[in-house]
Amino acid sequence: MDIFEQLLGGLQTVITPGNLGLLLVGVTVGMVVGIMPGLGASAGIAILLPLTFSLDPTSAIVMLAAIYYGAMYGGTITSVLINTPGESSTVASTFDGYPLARQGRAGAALVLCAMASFVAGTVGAILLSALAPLFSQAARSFGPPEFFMVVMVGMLMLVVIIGGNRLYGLFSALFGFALGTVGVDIGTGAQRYTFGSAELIGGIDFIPLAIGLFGIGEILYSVYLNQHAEDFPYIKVSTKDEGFWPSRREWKESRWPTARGSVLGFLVGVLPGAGATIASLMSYSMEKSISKTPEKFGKGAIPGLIGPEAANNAASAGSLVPLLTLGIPGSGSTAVLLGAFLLYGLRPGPLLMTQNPEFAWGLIASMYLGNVVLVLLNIFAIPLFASFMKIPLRIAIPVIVVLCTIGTYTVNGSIIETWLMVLAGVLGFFMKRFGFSPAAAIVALVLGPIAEETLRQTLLISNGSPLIFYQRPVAFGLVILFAVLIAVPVAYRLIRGRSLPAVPGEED
Amino acid sequence: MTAITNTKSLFLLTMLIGSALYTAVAFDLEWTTTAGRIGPGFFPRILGVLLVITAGWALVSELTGRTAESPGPQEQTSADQQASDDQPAKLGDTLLMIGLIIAFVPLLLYLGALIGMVLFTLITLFLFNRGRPLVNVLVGVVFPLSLFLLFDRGLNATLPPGAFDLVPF
Repeated sequence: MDIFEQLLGGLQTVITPGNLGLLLVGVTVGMVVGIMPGLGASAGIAILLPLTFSLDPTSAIVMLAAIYYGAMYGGTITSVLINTPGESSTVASTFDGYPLARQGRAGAALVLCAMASFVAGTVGAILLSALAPLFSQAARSFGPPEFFMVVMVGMLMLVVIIGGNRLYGLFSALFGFALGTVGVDIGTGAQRYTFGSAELIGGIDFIPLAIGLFGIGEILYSVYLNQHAEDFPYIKVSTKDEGFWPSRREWKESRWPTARGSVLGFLVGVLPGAGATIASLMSYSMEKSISKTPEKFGKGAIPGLIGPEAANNAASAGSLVPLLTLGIPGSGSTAVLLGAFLLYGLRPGPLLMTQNPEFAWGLIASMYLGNVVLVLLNIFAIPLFASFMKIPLRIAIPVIVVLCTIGTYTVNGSIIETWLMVLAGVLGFFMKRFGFSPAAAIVALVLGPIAEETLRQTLLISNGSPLIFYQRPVAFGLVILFAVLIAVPVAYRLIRGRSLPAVPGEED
Repeated sequence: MTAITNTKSLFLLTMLIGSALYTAVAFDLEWTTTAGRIGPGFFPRILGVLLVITAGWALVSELTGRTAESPGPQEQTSADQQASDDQPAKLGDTLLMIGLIIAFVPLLLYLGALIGMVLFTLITLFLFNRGRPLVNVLVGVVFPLSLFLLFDRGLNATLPPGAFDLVPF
């Protein structure tokens, strides 16, 4: 079956009144979540996950994925209007977006961003449609040794690329792996870290932890940063404003940055561990370096805004490639999505596209539709979404806490899990405060059991010999990559006498 | 700065102690089974040792005043700079919020979902959004009621019933 036929099949799955309604809900929630500084896409997905249990898997994932890429659109609004990124992936949009708004070009900036995001999101969906089956086919030859190394390389990339202190990032990842060992050991049936508790025999549930770390933790961190006491002054935008629509020159200036950002963003997004934030910052650097007027960057240069915007949207599509074909999430948001897949009994990996084609292609098809809905919402409802910024965080805080708590409770009706969520929230706050990475912990919690299972299978196949990693070409290649990822920061430090610069991490 | 360093050191110490305990339990689990395959303690022991090393390294770096890596992203730096003043109000608000969240769970347990949600929302709003009583009451009643109806009626989800049957419907 060719790609086009598969895509049509996917569209047929998605174009039902129910799924279209859920898609609309998802992109709208994503926009709102993206607009609110202090709340990321990962929090939005984690908090709404319990609400989707009554839905069928395809419908649920369509909505949750829509939150993910919808947040990329929403985060731009705060970046441009109040110089505060709503998402980590829209940090680069503040560099030239806010100066443009100060020059009275807020409407034009947002419209251009919406169009760039639409083009990039659609390009990303097209590339995803083309590459996912190829990746999936290549990954079918993977066995346990390859999968184990893919997980290890993915985690290491996340730790190396992640923002902040890499040692703390490593600890966060190890912490997540450790949490994943709680429960019954699959290989031997022995109980680990259950301390006689029946609740812990099934392991530490993913949902309370994800909601706690990302939802409650982020709220507490926002309170700590005193964001609840602030009323953000913002620049009013209306479609009736004279300067709302971009000029012909501005449209022309945005063409090539959109194209470049789309391709770069998708390729960066494919790398496990990299993601929308890194893609947008790389795009900004690239646009500045090839520009004939680099001195204009930081003062309202159109390429400086549009390139990163396109990159972050394309990257959100790119990050679904390793997620769907290998089951490797590259960020907190995709880790929560992976957690959702597993909860619905779907196992992302090489066989997903053949065993569950209606789900995989339904998800990809929904992205085309989602991008259309988003560009219309963004262009014609900018003033409405911008007005969400008038809601002070101090009013949103109890709403979010109640949603988190009730959402967690409704999953299994367990008060223990609710307490676990509270504990994870407090821990998440301290992790963020001191530079640890809740995202790495969640990714590791999801991947840890997979890593242990594949390692066990590997050693079973090889009769306990680690040489199997050298005897299989792909696994050996991944071992080399693993070694390089460790060696590069160390070598850099030894040669330059200082550490490899960290970049703002893909926390969402 | 001293206050942050002390709190951070305390956090790192807690992580180190937790890691050590995890590792101790791991060494009680079998490394390999009698059949020679990897046992339940294989992964945990490796993880535990690495956790202790990383936590210890981080703690020593913090106590000796050296960070292990380059400075973090701008947000972290600015948060630390803000926190370096360690104005009691910010930490106080955070601790207050933590206390409210902790208190929310027993509220749900004993008073049930609807009353628990209403009480928590009202108390939090009146503490953090002072001077806006009408908004606080509106949000404090409408939102929890909407959520209750969504979960209880719309989704047929299990909500905390409370120790007493206080809600007639």
